[in-house]
Amino acid sequence: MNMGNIVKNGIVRENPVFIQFLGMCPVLAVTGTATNGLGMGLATTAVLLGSNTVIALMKNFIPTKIRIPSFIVVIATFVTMIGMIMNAYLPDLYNALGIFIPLIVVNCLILGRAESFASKNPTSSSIVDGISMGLGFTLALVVLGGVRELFGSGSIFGVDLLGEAYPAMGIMIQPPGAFLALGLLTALFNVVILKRIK
Amino acid sequence: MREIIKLGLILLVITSVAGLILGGVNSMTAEIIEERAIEESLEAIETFFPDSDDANVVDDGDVLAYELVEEVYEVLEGENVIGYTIKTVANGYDGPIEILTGINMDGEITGIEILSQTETPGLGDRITEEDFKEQFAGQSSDSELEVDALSGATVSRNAVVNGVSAATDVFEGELRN
Repeated sequence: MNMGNIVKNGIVRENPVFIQFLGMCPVLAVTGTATNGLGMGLATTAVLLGSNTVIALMKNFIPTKIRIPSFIVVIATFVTMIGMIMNAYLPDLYNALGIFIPLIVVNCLILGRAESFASKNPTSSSIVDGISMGLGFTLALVVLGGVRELFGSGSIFGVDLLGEAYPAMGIMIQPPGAFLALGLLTALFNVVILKRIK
Repeated sequence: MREIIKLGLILLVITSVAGLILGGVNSMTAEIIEERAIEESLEAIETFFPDSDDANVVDDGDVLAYELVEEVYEVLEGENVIGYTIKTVANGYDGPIEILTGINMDGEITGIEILSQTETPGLGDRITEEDFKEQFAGQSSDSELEVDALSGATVSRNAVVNGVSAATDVFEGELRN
């Protein structure tokens, strides 16, 4: 598979959120603002890049029978590392994402890429796959967070856009708003982008 | 049997390496994390007591035995204790709420700060707004707190009131001379 295809798959054709519907727990829970979506997306990308690289390098060393616990250990190590580093250097983001940082461990997107891609492909394409899937995930989270923040608080990335007169739709930054926004954006994604690609 | 041992050993190698790496990262970041937590508390203490020069952690079992009380700092101006800053952790609607309460030696609340919370966005998280927090300043530590209701955020509001009451309780019970 050539690199261009891997990138296209990760970001558009097999977008983790809008097509594969993976990692719904953080997708729905942290996208109250565009900033949180971006932070969560980049943290997940970092973990994906790390775990894909290490698992691709170790694929001949890990016996098939214990591959799942081995993958989980690798993923959990990266998540814990990134959690500690964020807590030390990006405290505001760390506090905003809270419990969802340790929960990146159980984001099925990451285990999914380890199992279906990194353990079967060369290291170089696994690295590209990790970054592309991560960016696809980040992009979806930022769009979702941006839409919810715009309607729910009248701002994007904390910058007030709609002013005082805009009656904020509180529901958009609460859990039901996450489902509404995800459903509508998925429909839009299907109509506008997928059609063009096919 | 031999295979089980082999698989076990391989897992042992993987987990040991992971453990070593995590230990390394932890020793690099733990200090920074702790320093920042103390810094955050000190910053809040500055706003409660603008004249303060220094603050010491009060490490007294009787004080820390009080319900919800997590940490207590005595605030110094020169050699004199001018008040206390008490960190309490109350149960909010959606997890713990960390509250810092400043009380001066006259038994007057000088201010409160919400250090961390995970309340509902748009409803419960209004406890972090200035309008809400500034109601506590100026109230007396030996009487019932008077705080306006927050519509749609009763549990969050009550949690903060409980946290601040816990701080005034420990002040009245142990710290006030």
